[in-house]
Amino acid sequence: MNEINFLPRAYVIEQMRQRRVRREFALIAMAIMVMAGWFLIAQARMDQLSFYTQEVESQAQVMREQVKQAIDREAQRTVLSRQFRIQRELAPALSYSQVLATIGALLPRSMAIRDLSMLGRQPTVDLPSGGKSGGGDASAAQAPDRQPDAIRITLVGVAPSDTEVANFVGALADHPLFANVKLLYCKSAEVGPLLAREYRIEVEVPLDRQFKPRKAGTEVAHAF
Amino acid sequence: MRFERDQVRTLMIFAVLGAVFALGLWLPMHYRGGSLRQRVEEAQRQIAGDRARAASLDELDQEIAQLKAALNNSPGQVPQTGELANLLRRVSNLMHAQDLKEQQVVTQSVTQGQDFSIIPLSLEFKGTFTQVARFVREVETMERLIRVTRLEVRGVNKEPGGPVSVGVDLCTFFAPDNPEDPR
Repeated sequence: MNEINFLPRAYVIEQMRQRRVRREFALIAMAIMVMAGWFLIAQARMDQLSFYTQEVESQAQVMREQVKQAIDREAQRTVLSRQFRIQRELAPALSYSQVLATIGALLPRSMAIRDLSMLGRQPTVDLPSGGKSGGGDASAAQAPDRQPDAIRITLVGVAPSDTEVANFVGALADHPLFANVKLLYCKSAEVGPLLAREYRIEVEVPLDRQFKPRKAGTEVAHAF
Repeated sequence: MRFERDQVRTLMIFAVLGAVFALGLWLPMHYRGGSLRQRVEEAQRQIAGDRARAASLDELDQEIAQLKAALNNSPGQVPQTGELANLLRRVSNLMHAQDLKEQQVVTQSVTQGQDFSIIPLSLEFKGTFTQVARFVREVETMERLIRVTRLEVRGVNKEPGGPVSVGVDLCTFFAPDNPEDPR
């Protein structure tokens, strides 16, 4: 307690003020540094977030492109499915040439066919909802059920004897391709100077049959 | 309590710094962050919604390849337009190739359907049975789908082995991609 302060009061006050001002500047500097630090960290986070956003958005863009492609593909599939359905619906189960070849293969060489008639089912269309037709046979298009699902065949020809005719009818009846084989008549006929048997046979080929040839390249030249 | 002038100045500096920080740094950063997060959420929502549909792309490609293969392997093609002139040329060429005589071709009205349209044709000619059989086979194996619906063969001389008179009814088809616009 033996210290005596000889400094004037104004000097002391000034010194206190200077120390306070220094503390205040230090505080301000610290606050600026904290703000700058926060800004740098926040900016780095923002850059990361921005990068992540770009990544996710590019993924979304790729996904959008894929969805667009999927929509195009779906449209393409619809068109192709429709084409396939139409082709499957319209493609004949059996061709006339296959049936002709089978008849030719079954026909004995001594027999001949003079007249042949094959009548199949007319393809039908579903009319548009407006019922518009291009001037075609609309009645035939609208009445599909009247026609049988079969090819109706009528054969008129000559044979040397009833035995050949019977054999031919038997062969047709035994063949899995044919159904409802009917011999309508078998009568005497003159073929030039010769006496022969003229026959008329009716037979049906149901269109649910599958054609499986026994051997390829069977010719039917002897049918007439 | 009394504030010195330098204290008031310091407080004002703090206030200005705070305002600058809030308005110049924090607020823009906050809005930018919010906007980015919103974009991320939106993109993620869209990815989640599109993922299932995009995943079906491979399956669709396979189905399309199978359908194309099935269409290429089917016996006859159904064109999108009538192409009547081309069809008549082909049929006429086939008849000439088989040396068929007294050829007559009659086209009938097109029957327009919802999915496809039918072009009926009637042919008449004379030839041997072998020529007729070959002609029918050639017609039925044409690139374009053609169905024979009637075949009438009559012996001309009532003698076996002689020429035959033939009547054939054919149908061919076309199916426009857009059924509302049949050409």
